[in-house]
Amino acid sequence: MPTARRDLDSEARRTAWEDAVLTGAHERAVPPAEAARRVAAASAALGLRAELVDVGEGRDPTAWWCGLLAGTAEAGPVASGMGKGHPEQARVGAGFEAVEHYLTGPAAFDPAALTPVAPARVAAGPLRAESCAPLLARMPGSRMACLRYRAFGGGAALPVPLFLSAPWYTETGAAGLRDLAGDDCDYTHLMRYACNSGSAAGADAAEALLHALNEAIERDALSLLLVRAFLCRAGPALRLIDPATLPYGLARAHATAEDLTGSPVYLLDITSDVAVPTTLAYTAPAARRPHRRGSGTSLSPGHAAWRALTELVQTTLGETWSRPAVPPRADLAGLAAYPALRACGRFDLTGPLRAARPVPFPQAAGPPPPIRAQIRAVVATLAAQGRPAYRRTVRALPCGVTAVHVIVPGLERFMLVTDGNLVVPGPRGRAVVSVAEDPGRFLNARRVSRPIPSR
Amino acid sequence: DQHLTQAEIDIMADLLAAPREPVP
Repeated sequence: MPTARRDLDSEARRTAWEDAVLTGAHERAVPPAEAARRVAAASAALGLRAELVDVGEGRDPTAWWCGLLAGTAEAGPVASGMGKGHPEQARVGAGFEAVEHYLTGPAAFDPAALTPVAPARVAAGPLRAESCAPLLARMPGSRMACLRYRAFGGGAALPVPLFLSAPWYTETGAAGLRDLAGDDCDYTHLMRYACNSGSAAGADAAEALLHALNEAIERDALSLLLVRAFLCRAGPALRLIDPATLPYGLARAHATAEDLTGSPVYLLDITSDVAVPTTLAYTAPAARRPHRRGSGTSLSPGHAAWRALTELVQTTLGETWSRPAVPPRADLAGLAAYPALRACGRFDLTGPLRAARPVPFPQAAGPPPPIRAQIRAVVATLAAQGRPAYRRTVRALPCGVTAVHVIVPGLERFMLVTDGNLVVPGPRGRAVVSVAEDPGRFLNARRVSRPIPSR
Repeated sequence: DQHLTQAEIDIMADLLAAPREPVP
């Protein structure tokens, strides 16, 4: 479906307020200048210096790259990250992501913080809802390295395996670290379920926690879309946002994404039953090119769409960016023996898009509430569905910059299949298949969805 | 680098049990 074009240059009705909401000012603890000061202070406190590059070469929205150097530039960065959005937002965001990657990476490994737990015991607790639980239950080891997480609402600590948030811990090169931890488990197959999703760094703890929560919900919604599109007999009922209804800032980001990708960019509302607005910006795969996507979750529908579109811009710019530590592109070769999983990995929505239902851009019910109120609203919604969220402070620096990891047991991470990872859906994803096969159950399932209060 | 374990194969077989492409 060709997307409508507007004369955006003549559409000069952007207001500072609208742009602030779209770009997520309500999700930031401090103004941009203070955030920039704090992230620079964080790098200095860690004994690192930042190298920054505008990958978009003057575009707006754009993407920036940040490498954190411990020695000479020739030695390469010890951690790196990318940021997206307006130029200043992207530059600061790249710094935060680089700090996050450093603080959650092997450089900050602390065996004293670990608790050994038998994997079978992990699989019998709240993490039995995780997709890797069947592997954990059969694991012969007895000392899996875990970290203690706290529920947002209080209560007993939950030991969560380190590997779930630390992909580097499972690699062959980390054998020495596993020895230091006294870890006797075999991660050969579990490593397929390891990723750093749910990690975030912010100017303070609340900012980091909100981003981590929203990221977990976003990955879950994307995972459920994959299940509905490629593992259910009935195709997904896609909600395709009409680009002609986008406010100015989003229309401009949409136009930038289409210019950059050279493809129609489809903006889909993929909000799940968790009911926090989630948007996917998508371009279909071609013969020699994989699909491209960006996604975003926020209590503000406008910011969710902004995150999705600017992620797509960042992803596309990143394809030609060859600095170290930019994650490698997906390799679907390992999925070839499993056609259903390969279809999920290829993520070709061309067919379902033909039957997509056009919807107008969803308007927010009101201005977004303060960060802590957003956290309370999201956590309460998850808890009402029987999904308590757990948190861990990875590191809080004196300048306020804090890195966290959040896990909501049972939320899907099946989207790892799009990297080429051989993973299967967890109980939540599998329930989507059985519900889709029985329309009566589907109707009942939809009733758990409820709107989020705007204040 | 990896293959599905028997537990994962069983899960996928159950998911795709409708009279679906065969799971290897």
